[in-house]
Amino acid sequence: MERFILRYRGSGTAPLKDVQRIHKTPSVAVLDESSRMLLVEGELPAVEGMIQLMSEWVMVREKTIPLPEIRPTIRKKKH
Amino acid sequence: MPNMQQFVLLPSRGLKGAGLQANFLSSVFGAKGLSLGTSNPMKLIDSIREDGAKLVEMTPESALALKSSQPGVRVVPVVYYRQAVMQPISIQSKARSLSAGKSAKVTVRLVTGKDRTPVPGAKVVAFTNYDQREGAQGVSSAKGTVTLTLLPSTKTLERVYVFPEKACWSLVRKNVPVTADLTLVLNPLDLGYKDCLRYFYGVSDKLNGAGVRVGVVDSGVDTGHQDLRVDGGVNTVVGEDPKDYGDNGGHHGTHVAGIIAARGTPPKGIRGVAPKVTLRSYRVFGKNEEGASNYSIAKAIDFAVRDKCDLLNLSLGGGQLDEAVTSAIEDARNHGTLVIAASGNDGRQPVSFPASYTLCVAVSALGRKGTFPKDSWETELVAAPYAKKDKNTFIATFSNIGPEIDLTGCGVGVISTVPGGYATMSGTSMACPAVTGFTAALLSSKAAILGMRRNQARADAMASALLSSAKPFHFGVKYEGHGFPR
Repeated sequence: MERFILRYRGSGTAPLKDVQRIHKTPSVAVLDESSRMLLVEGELPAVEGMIQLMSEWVMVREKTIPLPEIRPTIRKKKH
Repeated sequence: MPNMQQFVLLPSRGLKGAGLQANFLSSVFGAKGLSLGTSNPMKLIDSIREDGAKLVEMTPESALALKSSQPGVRVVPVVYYRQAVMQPISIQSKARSLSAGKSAKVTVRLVTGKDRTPVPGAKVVAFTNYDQREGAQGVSSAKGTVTLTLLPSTKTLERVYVFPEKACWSLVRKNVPVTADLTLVLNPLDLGYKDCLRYFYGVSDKLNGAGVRVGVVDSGVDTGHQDLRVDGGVNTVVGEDPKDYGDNGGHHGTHVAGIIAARGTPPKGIRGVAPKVTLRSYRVFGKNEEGASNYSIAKAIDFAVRDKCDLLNLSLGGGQLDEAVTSAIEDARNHGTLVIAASGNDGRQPVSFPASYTLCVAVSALGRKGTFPKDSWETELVAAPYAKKDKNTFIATFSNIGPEIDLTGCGVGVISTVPGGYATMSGTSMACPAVTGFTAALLSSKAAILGMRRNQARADAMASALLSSAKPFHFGVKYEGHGFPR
């Protein structure tokens, strides 16, 4: 299971019918949503298959961007 | 021979232009060499269609001039991708065994001021081998002490760094003999001190930034600090309270916010570059988390645009271009919000995303000798190139650089707010809000721009005004872009 961001690229808020489709898709769980995006969890084929049916949506893997830190630090040893 | 490089010209969205962008791209298609007001014209190499994306060749200076004259056109350096090759994990240092009892313990005592007041909460990093990053580290207790465990054969600490949480400058000592007890005296922070930011900008006028709304997308801003007034915000970290946009314990966001908007007066407080802005906090780093989700960042940008922020400060970045975040930045631009981002701290490496994205204003970091104590860690951040007419001004060692850089800002040894007090920090994270604050101060005298309808033209006008204000220190375009806003 992976987490994906689904973002509407059209004008205005995401169409309600598309949002409802996402919510109703089996094996895809909606974790969070806003006016133009949803954060979902599911298997890649299921999410990809769903997105292909909806125009003006993009799918992006969720990833983490680290907090900037430039101070020298002790390197952890690998064994 | 001019330094010709290849770039892809794109409309603000997609591959096909519309309106003025289409006209410009078509003019490139039809011209054999397009003058950009520099001595080296742009040369067309390939085109997808007449009004669409172009592959061109031009100098970095010409690229910069083009970005200014056509702010809605994306100017993207050509990038070559390599195959992702798995690197074998290498042992960083020989495995050593520490038998029980066979270690040397050093108690480091940290004090400051004439009274030798203990300094709690400071991170002490002691290297026995700096190149291998071997050694020991710890945080000082309430009594200002920390005990480090070293190998019994250790005679000398090659380098010892102290990074206080607040109230003192950092410290570096080299070749320190190992003794059971080691006392280090830290320089106290004087809020009236002329750090890099105050050297170049002085103590700001209290009305700087009036009428401008700034969003800080970061680790939260301390809503209880005496020098800060947070108008509101949102926490977009999934699973946390949306109303909890205060500092997450990491201090980074509060420091960034203070550079822009602190309202104190030295020596009892500090003042940011634009103390009169309306400041909003958009927290994207979770409590005690060291990372922010691209989802949280995109959502924060959306909320900030909804809240009619004029400027967004993104002192964060890393990794590859991300369509969720680029889409949010595009939407911001289309709604009259300008995004200013830090170029990253990987040491002269390419500009990080999202600063590298053409619709962001990318900021590198400069510093100035004489604006930090001689025994502070900041002394290690000095490197060439130096300003042509002022050899004390330099581009910081850690700063990322490249053709995407638009401006440079104060990023070495900057004094600002943290929860419970004040601290110094260094990084493009500090240079970015220095520029954001300057932009706010600049815009507060440009009612015509602030009064424009909230669309791309408004954001473009803000970008143009900011870029036009900059004057080069002549470090070179890849280090400073248009230069230092002043």
